[in-house]
Amino acid sequence: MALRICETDREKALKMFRELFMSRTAQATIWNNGGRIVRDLGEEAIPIGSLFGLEDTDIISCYFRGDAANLRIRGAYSPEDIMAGWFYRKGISNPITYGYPNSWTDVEHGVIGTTSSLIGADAVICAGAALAQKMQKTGRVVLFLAGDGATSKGDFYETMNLAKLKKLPLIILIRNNNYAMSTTMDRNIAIDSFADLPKTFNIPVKVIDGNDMLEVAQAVSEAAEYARSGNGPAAIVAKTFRMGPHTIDDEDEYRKDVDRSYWIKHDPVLIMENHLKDRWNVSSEEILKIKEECEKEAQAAYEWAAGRPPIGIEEVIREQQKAVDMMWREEK
Amino acid sequence: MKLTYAEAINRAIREEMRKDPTVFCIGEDIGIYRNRSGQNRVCKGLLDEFSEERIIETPIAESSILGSAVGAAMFGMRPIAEVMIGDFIITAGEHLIYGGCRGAAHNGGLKFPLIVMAPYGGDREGEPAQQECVEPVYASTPGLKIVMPSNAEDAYGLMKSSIRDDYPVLFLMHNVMLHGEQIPYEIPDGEYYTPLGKASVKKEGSGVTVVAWGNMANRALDAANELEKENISAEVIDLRTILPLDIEAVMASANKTGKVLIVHESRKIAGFGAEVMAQVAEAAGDKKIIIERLAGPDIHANVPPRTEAIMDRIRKMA
Repeated sequence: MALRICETDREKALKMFRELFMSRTAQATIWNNGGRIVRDLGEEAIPIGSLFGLEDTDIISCYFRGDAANLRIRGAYSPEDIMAGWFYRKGISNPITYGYPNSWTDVEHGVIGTTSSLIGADAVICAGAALAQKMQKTGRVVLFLAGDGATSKGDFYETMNLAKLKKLPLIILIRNNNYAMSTTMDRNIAIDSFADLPKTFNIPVKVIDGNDMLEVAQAVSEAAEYARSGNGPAAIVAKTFRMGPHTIDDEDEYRKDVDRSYWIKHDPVLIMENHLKDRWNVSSEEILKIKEECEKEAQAAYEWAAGRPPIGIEEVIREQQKAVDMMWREEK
Repeated sequence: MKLTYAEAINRAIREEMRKDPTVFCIGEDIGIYRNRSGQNRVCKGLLDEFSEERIIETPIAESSILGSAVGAAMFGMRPIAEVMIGDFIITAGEHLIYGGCRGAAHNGGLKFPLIVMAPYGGDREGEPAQQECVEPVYASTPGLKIVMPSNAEDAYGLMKSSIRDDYPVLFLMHNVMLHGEQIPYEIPDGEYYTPLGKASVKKEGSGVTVVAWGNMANRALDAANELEKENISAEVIDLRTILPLDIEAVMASANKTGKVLIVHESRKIAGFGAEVMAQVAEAAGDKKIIIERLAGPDIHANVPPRTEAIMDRIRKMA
C-alpha cells in the first residue's frame, strides 16, 4: 500500500528526521576522524527517504555511497559495530575482512552489500535478487540505487531490459547529482534526461526532488506498490547535489567555481526541518534536541569503536581462509 | 542404463529440479531451440516440464545472466546459468569472481549456490579450434570449484553434486562429448552423487603418471591402453574437479611412479598444468619427481594434443 504523506504520523515523521540527521552526523564523525567513507553529504534524503518508502522486508542496494545506514536502520548491525567497521576495528559481530560496511550483505535484513567494485555492477545483482523474490512469491521488492555514473555500465542497460522482459519487482532509482566523480552529466552521457533511459525500455519513471525526503519516500512507496503487484520494474530519477568531495582523496577543485547557493538553501536536512514545523507543528527546540542526541550517539559510537582492538592482517587472513576452506570442502 | 554425456547431465538437472523448487535454469536459447533441447542439449525437455517460470530464456547478455544468477543465489535460489560458449564467460567474470566467490568469502561464508555451465574445448583431432580451455582464466579464484567431467558417468554424478553444493561451481562440458558423436555409455542405474574435489584413477599403472582432465583424460586413457601393447604401464589420473585440486591423489601416483606427465588443451603458458606442476614439485619436497607438461602451442587457437603425441611423450618418459 503506497504511503500517503499527509497521513504520516508525527512519530514517524520525527523518526524519519532523526535517521536522516543521524546519517549525516555519523558520516561527519567518520570523515572527521579519518575514516575512508564515500560520503553522500547533501544527498542523504535519497537512501534514508527510500528506506521509509519501502516495507521493512524489502531489499536495498546502496553500493559505495553513504555510511551503510541501511544496515543500521534495518537492525542488521548495531551503530557501534558499523562504526568499528569504518575504522577497521573489531566490533561484536562485524565481518572480518579488509573491506568496510558498504560491503556487508545481510540477506535476512534485505541489504545487498557491494560485491564487485565496478560502478553499476550491482544492477544485475539486484535484478537477480528481484528474480528470486518473484520466483519465491515473497512479495518483496528490490531497490537499486544508481548514481549518474552507474548508468554508463552495460549492466545497467542489461538490467533495465531483463527486468522489463521478465517483469521483475525492481525499482531503479537514479540519484543524479550531475557528477560522476569529476565528469558532469553533459560530458558523461549523450542524453537530455536520465528519465530517457527507463523510458527507452517502457519502464514507468518519475522525476522528483531528491532532497525532499518525503517526496522520495512517497515516490519509492508508489514505485514499490507498482513493482510488487507484478507489473514489472519502475524507475525514479532524483535530482540532488553532492555537497562534499567524491572521496577523502578528492580536493574537489574542479567544482570551485560552481554556485552552490541554491543547494545550500535546498539542503535535505533543512527541507525536512521545515516539513516538521509546517506539517506536524514540531518546535525548533525539539528539532535541536534530536540533533544533539544524534551527535551524542555518533560520538559515543565512535569512542566505543576507537577503543576496540584493531583488525590485524593475520586475523583477516585466518577468517578469509576459513571461509574459502568452507567453500572448497568436499560435498557429501 | 545407457546415456550420452549430454543426456546424463540433462538427467541430473531434471532430477534435482523435480526434488527442489529453488533449482532453475537461466540462459540463452535453452528452451525451444534445437527441437526443445536448447543449443547445448543439456536442457532438453526442461521447458516442457518446468515452464518459463523455471527455464528462463534471456537476451544475449551474459553479464546479466551470470549477475542475476549471483543475485538470485544470494537470496535463496539455486540457479544453473548456462553460458552458450565457454569463451563468453569472461564478459561476466566479475560477477562470478567478485560477486559469487568474493561475496561469499567476505560475508563469513554466505551461501551462493550457483552453477555456471558452459561447453569448452577443441573437437577435432589435430585441428585448431576456436573454443578454448577457459579454466585457467578462473583458476586463481579462491573458493570457486571448477568441474570438468570427461565421461557420462562422472558428468551425471558431478552435476548432481554441483547442484547440491552451496557455493559457486563452474561446470565445463567438453565439446567432443557434448556436440560430437552422441554415443550412449553405460552408467550406473539409480541416483548417485559423485564427490567434488576428488580425482579418479581411470587406469592403474606403474611407469608414468598421466594427469589430465576433460577430453584429454579420454585421450590419455586411449594412449595408456595402446601403450600396454608395448609393455609400457601408464597410470591415468582424471582430475574431474580441477579446483580444488586433489593433490593427494596425484601424489599417491607420483610417489609410486616418480614421473608425471600433465596433459591439457589450449596454450601451455599459464595453463592449469602450471599449477599442477608447481603443486607436485612442492609436495615432492626432497624426493625427485620428473614433471613434464604436454599442451597446445602458445597461440590464439586451441590445438589439443593428439593421442599419438601423448603416446610419444609417455614413451620418452617411461
